[in-house]
Formats: sequence, structure tokens, C-alpha cells
Amino acid sequence: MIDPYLKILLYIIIALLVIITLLLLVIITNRYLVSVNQDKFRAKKQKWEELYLNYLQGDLNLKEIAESFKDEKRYYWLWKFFAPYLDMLDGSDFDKTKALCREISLIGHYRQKLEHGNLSEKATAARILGALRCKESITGMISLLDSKHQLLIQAASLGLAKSGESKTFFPAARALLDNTYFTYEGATEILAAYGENAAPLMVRFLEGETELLPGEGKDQSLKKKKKSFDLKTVDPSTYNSVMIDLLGFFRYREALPALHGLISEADPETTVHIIKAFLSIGEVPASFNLKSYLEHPYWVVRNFSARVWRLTGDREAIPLLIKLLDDPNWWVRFNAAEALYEAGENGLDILSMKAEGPDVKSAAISSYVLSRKGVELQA
Amino acid sequence: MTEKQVILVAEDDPGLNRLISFKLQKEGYQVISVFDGKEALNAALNEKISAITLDIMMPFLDGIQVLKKVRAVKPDLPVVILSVKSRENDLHQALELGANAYMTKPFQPEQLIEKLKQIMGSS
Repeated sequence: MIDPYLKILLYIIIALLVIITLLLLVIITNRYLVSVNQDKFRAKKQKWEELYLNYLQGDLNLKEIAESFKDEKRYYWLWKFFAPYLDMLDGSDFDKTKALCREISLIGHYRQKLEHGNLSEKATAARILGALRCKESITGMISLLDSKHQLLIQAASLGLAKSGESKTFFPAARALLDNTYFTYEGATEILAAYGENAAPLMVRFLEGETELLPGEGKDQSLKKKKKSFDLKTVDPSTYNSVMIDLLGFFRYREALPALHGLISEADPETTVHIIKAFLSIGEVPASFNLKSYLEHPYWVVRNFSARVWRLTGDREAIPLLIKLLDDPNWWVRFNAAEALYEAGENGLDILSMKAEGPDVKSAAISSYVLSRKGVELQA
Repeated sequence: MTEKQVILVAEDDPGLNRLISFKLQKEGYQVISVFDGKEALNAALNEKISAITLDIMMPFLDGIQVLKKVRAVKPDLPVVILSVKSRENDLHQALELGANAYMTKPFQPEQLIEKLKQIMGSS
């Protein structure tokens, strides 16, 4: 006679073994199906690629190639095939690819998903239609910026950025910064997808056309809309900083006058962004007075001002750089010493003298920078 | 019979690599396709090639490293760099290292071929 407790234990073990076996079966079947699907896609891709390249070359016309794609209803496969080309190509090859996507109903399918799909389908559609630079979908994507779902705001912003419609930069910036949990860096990265074409608009905003940003200036429509969620309040200067960073990232020289116009009134953080943009652009405005920033109370401003010195080569600022060798902040001392090293023989003499001088901080940083440059001090 | 000029296409995206190679072949060039930096360096140093289109972001060895090593041995070999716009610092570095030209993605393959022809014609 088996002990009833042992019997229960046996049943539990058998049940567990059955569950584990079933789970393993599900995993193995799933992996098998994925691999079969991948093989099928690979085979299709190979066939499509041959046809597509001949189409781009003009050996096949639109109708002929569309015929070969028309039976494929797995739109996501079609998308996976075309996506890298749409990302990398421009000009006539891009136009031909887009025309093909339209002819085989890929655009129509995702336009329908953008309007009537579920959350995830809408997000996918926004990304795809953006990459296809599909102008007819701009309004639909803009409406997603008002969504309460962050995924949709992100997808719509990216889609709009890729669509090349620069005028949608401001609504997207507003939605990303005000209504999502994206960090400043995350939002800036998405907005960078707008590319240099959006730079003239950003300059106009920095020059005072604040009404370009929905909810600011004349257009109060967004501000009036009571959102069902209010995640954070963004400081207005954040918008300036994002645009200053992007203009630096695009190395947009034409922004220099606008940046110069802002810097005298800017708060310390914005000042840092502007000086960093000068560094990225590789140039400072002709009338930029570096000296006052080398003496700025905020150490980060002094630090980047020392770095920007090489763009000006201003000999009159050298006494201030020498003063900064004794700055309380190590980075400021380091960048001042680096700037002096770049000032040529005069700077080298100053560093050598300071390295052997009585001031502990300036002696240490001068020796350090000289040794990094391989300059040996005389004993 | 004149020998075909050989172009080395170093691009890790298989679709783009095939597309550039296809267009170059149609223009009458012979093409060696490679998909990572190590293969690119190996081909550039050991094969008789007339020019390279070199992507910056590649596995194992990036385009900048490849260019540095190639320039040390073949200072006059025409090189066109291909990269995304956001890697502009790399592009400047590549030009300083002696790349003859660069193109940012998205790009028109015809312009790339035109650039290659110009550089090969003047070198």
C-alpha cells in the first residue's frame, strides 16, 4: 500500500514533468517556426533583391516589378526588405523605391493602420510612413503627438522627423519634452533626425520667433488643451538648449549670429550650451568677447571658454588663461593649460615657467600638460 | 583587350553592398565586395585594386583604422568614405588621413560612382 502523501507527491512530479515537456515542446516548435520563417524570408529577399536592383537600373519597369511583389501580403516582410534601402538611398533611387512601395500597396496598408490600427500598429505605421517620406500621412502623424501614449508620441516624432517636414519640428519638440518621460538627451536624439533642413527654423526661433513653438506666443491652442496627463513642466530655456545643441550638432555656421545674440542674456546653463555649439561648429562669431566668459563665475562656462580659445587665438586673453591655471576646478586648469600649449612658443614658455613656479596648482597642471605633450622640463 | 578596373566595396550592410556593387558592375567595373574592416584591409593590401568605397562603421575594424593602415602602404590609392551624417567628426578625420572624398548617407549611388570616376581619372 502506497502512503497517500507519497501518492500526491508522485502526481505533482508527473504533472510538473508534463508541464515542463509541454513548455519545451512549445519552445522547440516556436524556434523551428521562426527558423522556417527566416529561411522563407531569406529566399524571398534573394529573389526580390535581384528584381529590385534591375528595377533601379531601369531594366524592369514599375508594372513589371510590382507584378512580382503583388501576391505578398506579409507587409512586414516587404517593409523589412525595403527599410535599409529607404534609409540609405536618396534621389531617383529613393523615388523609385517609394513608387514601388505605393504600387504594391505597402503605403496604403500602413496608412490604413495609422488611422485604424491598434497602438502598436499605429506606432509601426508612423515609423514606416515617415521613412517613406509619405506627405499624405503628416496630418495623421501630427495627431498622434497629442496621444497619451508615449510610444505613439515617440513613433510619430521619429516618423515626422524622417518625413523631412521641417515645420513639424516644433510640435514634435513640444510633445517629446512636455508629454513624455524622455530625458533631454533622448528627446534631442530623436529631434536630430530632422536633420539640417530644420536648422533655419530653429535659428528663427532663437532670434525671437517664439510663436513657432505651439503653446508659445500667439498660438496658445496647445496650452489651452487640458491634457489628461501632465508629466512635467519644462523650463522654456530647455527648448533653447535643445535647439542650440542641434545647431552645434549640424555644424550650422549660419546660426552663429543668432547664438551670439542670445549669449549676453543667457543663463549660465544656456551659456554653456552656446559655447559648446561654437566648439562643434568650429568657429566663434567675429565680435564674440571671449574674455568675459573666461572670468565667468560658473566653472563650466570658464572650462568651455578655455577650450574655445583655440578657435579665437586671442593673444589678449592669454593673461586670463594664465590666471585660470590657478582655478579651483581641475578641468578649468587643465583646459587653460592645454590652450596655453596651443598658443605656441610664448604659451610653452609660460607653462615651463609655471611648472617650476611656487604656485602649487598651476605648477602641477603645467607639468602634467607638458608631460602629456612629451615636453621635458630642464632640471 | 583592356583590363577592367577593380573597385573594393567595403560596406557591412549586405543590401547596400550588393546595390553599390551591382551599379559598379553595370558601369563596367570589376568589384570585390567585403563586409567588415578586416576583410577590407586584407583585400586593400593584397589585391590589385583601383579604388575603395569605404564605410566608416564596420565590424572588427572601422573604416578610419582601415584607411590609416592602407594609407601607410598605398598613399595614392583613391578612397571614397561613406558614412552617416551623425559621424561627421569621423568624416573630417578621414579627410585628414587622406581620404579623397566622402559621401553621407542617404546618398545617390550614381553620385558615388561619379566621384569615383573623377578621383580615378585625376590620380
